[in-house]
Amino acid sequence: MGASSGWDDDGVRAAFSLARRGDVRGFNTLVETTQRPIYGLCYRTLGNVEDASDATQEAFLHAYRSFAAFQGPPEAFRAWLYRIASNACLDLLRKRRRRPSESLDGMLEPDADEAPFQIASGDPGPESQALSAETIRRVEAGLARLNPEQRLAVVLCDVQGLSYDEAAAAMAVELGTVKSRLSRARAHLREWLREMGEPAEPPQRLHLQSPTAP
Amino acid sequence: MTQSPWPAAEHAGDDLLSAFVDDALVADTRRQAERHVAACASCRERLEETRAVVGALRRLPAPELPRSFTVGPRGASARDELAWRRLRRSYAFSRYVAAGFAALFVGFTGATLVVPPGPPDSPTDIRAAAPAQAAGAAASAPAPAAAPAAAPAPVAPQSAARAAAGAAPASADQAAGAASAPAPAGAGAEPTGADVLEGAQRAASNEARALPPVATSLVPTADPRRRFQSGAVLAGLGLALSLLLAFNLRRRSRPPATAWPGFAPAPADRPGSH
Repeated sequence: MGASSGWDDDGVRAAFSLARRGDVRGFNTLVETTQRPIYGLCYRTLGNVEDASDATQEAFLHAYRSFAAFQGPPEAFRAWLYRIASNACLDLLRKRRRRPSESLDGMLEPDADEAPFQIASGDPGPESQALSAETIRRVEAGLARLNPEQRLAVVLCDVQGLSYDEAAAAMAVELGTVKSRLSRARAHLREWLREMGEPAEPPQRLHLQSPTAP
Repeated sequence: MTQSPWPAAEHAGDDLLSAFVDDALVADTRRQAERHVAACASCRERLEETRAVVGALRRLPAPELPRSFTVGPRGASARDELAWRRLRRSYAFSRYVAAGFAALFVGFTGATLVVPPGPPDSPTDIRAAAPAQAAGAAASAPAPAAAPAAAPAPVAPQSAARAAAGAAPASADQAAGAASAPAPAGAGAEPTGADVLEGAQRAASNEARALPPVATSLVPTADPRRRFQSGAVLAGLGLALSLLLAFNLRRRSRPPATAWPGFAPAPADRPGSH
């Protein structure tokens, strides 16, 4: 699953056996095979290139240091690596919350008077069908408004295409927690995008998002 | 997660819609949901919108990779290890700069020792003037004005007595000279009171120029200044030495794992904290 996430199962399996040799070069083939989806996760969770780069690098360094301790089969590697990356993201978010940063604020400036989000098609649509730049920006702004746990859930499941089980392993929570975080994240995004689609209503109803941050 | 049947009158919850979109409902619940959605326009709309959200998220473009995140042989990021090598190369230069600063510091500290602090009165003058004053003070003991000046210095009476007696001890050479300018030293065991008094006054006025009035009464005034100077020299030498040592040690030491000091394998559940 998750062709859009760029996770290459065959490539990972091949690189995995190389990495098992225990040297840096072997591990780096694994890095090269997986860095796109991992960076994608970090970027969508953190919202900017700088933090995403930091978290990605931190995740791979940590993975390198603890790879010998990973005893699971190659199929479990994905959830394992995503878990390390998720933790790196959450750590960075915690750090950033302690010293307020402007990086997320940049994403919170939607232009309410632009074309409404196209919600007409009820079908997820073919993945080749590109989103408009405006839609991308709105979805990103909506993601930025979610609390970190919900954002991580929705990025893991919908953007990265992890299964519920994999996402639960990556977030180290129960399956039910993944489902409820995911459904709340989707609902908030739905409301956000619906609001964005109403030019008459400027983004004053921001209180809608407040219950998401317990 | 409510996968149990819900009253037909109630609208579908977000969790149910979410699972519906993922096709993650058990068959029974799914059939019920389909029936409800077919009948309820509001739930149908929310379901469609949820689907649209999921579809948009799936089609979010993958961000461009800003760089490679490969790991270097030392366990830091390959990029940082390269930067570290470059830094070490430029570091050779900075060592010379630091050594230059250290040399400057040593030179400056040394200069403060050699060059006298005040223009006419070098530390030797001050030292010489003290016994001279003492001598004068002791000699003029009959003069009531000079008596208090000699009183606080316990060493003064002895050396003063010796100087006045014409013994001219080696340590009081200059004092004797100063005192004997009007009346040569050792001229007699009983010099005229006026002569001695005059010499004492002259010595005292010399002293007054060298030190502030309060200090004239205290013989060991010169000592703290010397102690300060030798302390500064020692501190300078120590600083220079420690600088050189530190730079030498750093040159020999292996490069650390730069930004990731926790190189030891950490537990897998959390990324290594800094």
